[in-house]
Amino acid sequence: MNVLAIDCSGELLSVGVGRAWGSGGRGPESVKHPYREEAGHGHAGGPGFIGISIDAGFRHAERVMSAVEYCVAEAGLKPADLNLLACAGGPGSFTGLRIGMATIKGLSLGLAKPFVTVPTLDAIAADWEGSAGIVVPIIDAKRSRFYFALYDNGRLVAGPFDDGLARLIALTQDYPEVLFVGPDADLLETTVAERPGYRIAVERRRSPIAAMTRLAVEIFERSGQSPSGTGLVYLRASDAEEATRQ
Amino acid sequence: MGKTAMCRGIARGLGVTEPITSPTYTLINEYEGALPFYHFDAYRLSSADEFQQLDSDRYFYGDGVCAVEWSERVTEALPNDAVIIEIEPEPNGSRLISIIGALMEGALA
Repeated sequence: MNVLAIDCSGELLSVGVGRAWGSGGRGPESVKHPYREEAGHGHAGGPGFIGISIDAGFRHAERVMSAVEYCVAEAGLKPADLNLLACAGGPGSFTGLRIGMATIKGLSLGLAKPFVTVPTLDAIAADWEGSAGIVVPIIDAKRSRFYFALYDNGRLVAGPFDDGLARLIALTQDYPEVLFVGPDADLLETTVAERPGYRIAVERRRSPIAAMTRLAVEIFERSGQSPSGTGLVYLRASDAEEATRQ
Repeated sequence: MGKTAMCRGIARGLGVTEPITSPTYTLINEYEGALPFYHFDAYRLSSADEFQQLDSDRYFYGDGVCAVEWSERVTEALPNDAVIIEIEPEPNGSRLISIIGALMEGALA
């Protein structure tokens, strides 16, 4: 399966193309790019992954399509060869999420290919799957609030939440080891310094695009494509109120 | 009333050379100056939530100067340290201008 995933949910823009990925969203065990003189510098056969991540200002709408073109071309594919499209489903920057969703829905319509959304916190946690302890992705929700959720080796334990520091500490303090990840984890530096079980990942401003691509395949195989009217999960408290009222 | 006139003054102070027009219909106008200047008008909005859906936080917690006309319509969406400027017309045509906010009070103390 050939998959295109786009993440515009935060300051980083990232795009990934998984080529010939197998069931469960597993990419190549080791990327196979045998250099063969007779084949020139053409694209090697077999599974591969092309990812691009840009951490240089919020200019996602201007950059996203050229990044898509680059990744698809480098994967040796044409747009029509894609089997699945995916984007971050939220939470995150409202504008960013909409840029990703609009791009994916446009491509889905134009290419007549299915798409899925991948919850942003799931993708960040999946990027740290295998880490010891509880993994907690942190996204700044402003006004001293965070979007966060608790994961144990990739499995959601609690959340997602849109809440303050007190709730975050209450939910995590009983675990012996807690690793805060994601682009805004540094907001917790003071809190982490006070508690021996808490740590902040060093390379937190890294893109989870490969993990997002893998989750996209898993979600598609488990639940099928998202309906064309799929919306984003902003996760604001007001959304929850809205949902209760309905 | 003088809201846009005042925003024009803020823009000039920031070195914006473009003409400043009312954002009543566009909701947000962005200008390049010594600091980026973001000029909002909440008149057409019915709630703070609607304002936040425009991603107001990206501007408020970003790197520029934000001026919001009709901010009383979206109070809950404003940062806690926002400076509030009230302009009241007086019968003689002059204006009574009040500047309110913890930040200002701290600066004047």
